[in-house]
Amino acid sequence: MDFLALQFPTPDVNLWLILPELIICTVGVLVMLVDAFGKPTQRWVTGSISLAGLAVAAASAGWLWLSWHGASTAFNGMIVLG
Amino acid sequence: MNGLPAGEFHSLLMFATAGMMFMASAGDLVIVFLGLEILSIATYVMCGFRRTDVRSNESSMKYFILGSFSSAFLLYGIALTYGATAHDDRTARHDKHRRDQPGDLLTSQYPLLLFAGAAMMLVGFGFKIATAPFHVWTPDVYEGAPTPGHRVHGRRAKSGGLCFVHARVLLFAFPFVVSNADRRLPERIHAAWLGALVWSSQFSP
Repeated sequence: MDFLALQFPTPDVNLWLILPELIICTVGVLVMLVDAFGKPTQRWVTGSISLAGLAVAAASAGWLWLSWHGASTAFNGMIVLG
Repeated sequence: MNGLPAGEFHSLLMFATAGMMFMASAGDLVIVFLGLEILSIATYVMCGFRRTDVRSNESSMKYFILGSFSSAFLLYGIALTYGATAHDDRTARHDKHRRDQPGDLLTSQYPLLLFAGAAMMLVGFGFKIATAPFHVWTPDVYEGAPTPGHRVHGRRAKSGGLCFVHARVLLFAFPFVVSNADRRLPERIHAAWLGALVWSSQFSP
């Protein structure tokens, strides 16, 4: 079998459709790092960052909602904005 | 939550939320499974967050075993569904009008295989949303988990799983059971009579 002749389809990458999820995951990692390097007495910092991240993710979800023009898919149909 | 690392809990909460969001935006059963696992693994840790408390450890261990068991059922159901329809996405349901791409239980070329797959997916999600009769260890998980973890597990995770079961599994696999008139009626009847049946036999020692 000639592996060099294999043709792989170009993935349908559209990160905008998973923008809220990406923001949530990034903020989750950020909160973990802040907790690892921050002082134990500053418990309010991680909570504040989490709430801010949730607000930004909610805003991005609202933006996706307002800019919706019919069902769109990404990653070859694995993600659907319906 | 006094004395416990708040940052880790917030981080786990964010990952659980991301898993739920992935489940909600999934167009493919593989993404549903990935989202469910992201949600579940974060919830296992949250249930056992009080590491020095034996009941919290018991809660986490029981939920982990229960979750692993249900994930295996769910994955096997997804595999059977794929075998019956050659799809693992929404087209498995939407292609029912095409004769060469049978979509649901009424039009499938392999109805038994699809029925088995859908039934196993229902069992898997039944464990996840703790519906009767798959609810046996769930009270122990509720009892031992810290209150915030218990709320995430009890409200948000169950809501996400229930919405998915309702929107995808039931409508996809059992269209004759779930009619357009009242799509929640079978679930209500099931929850009511079976819940009432087993309620009297459950107690906490």
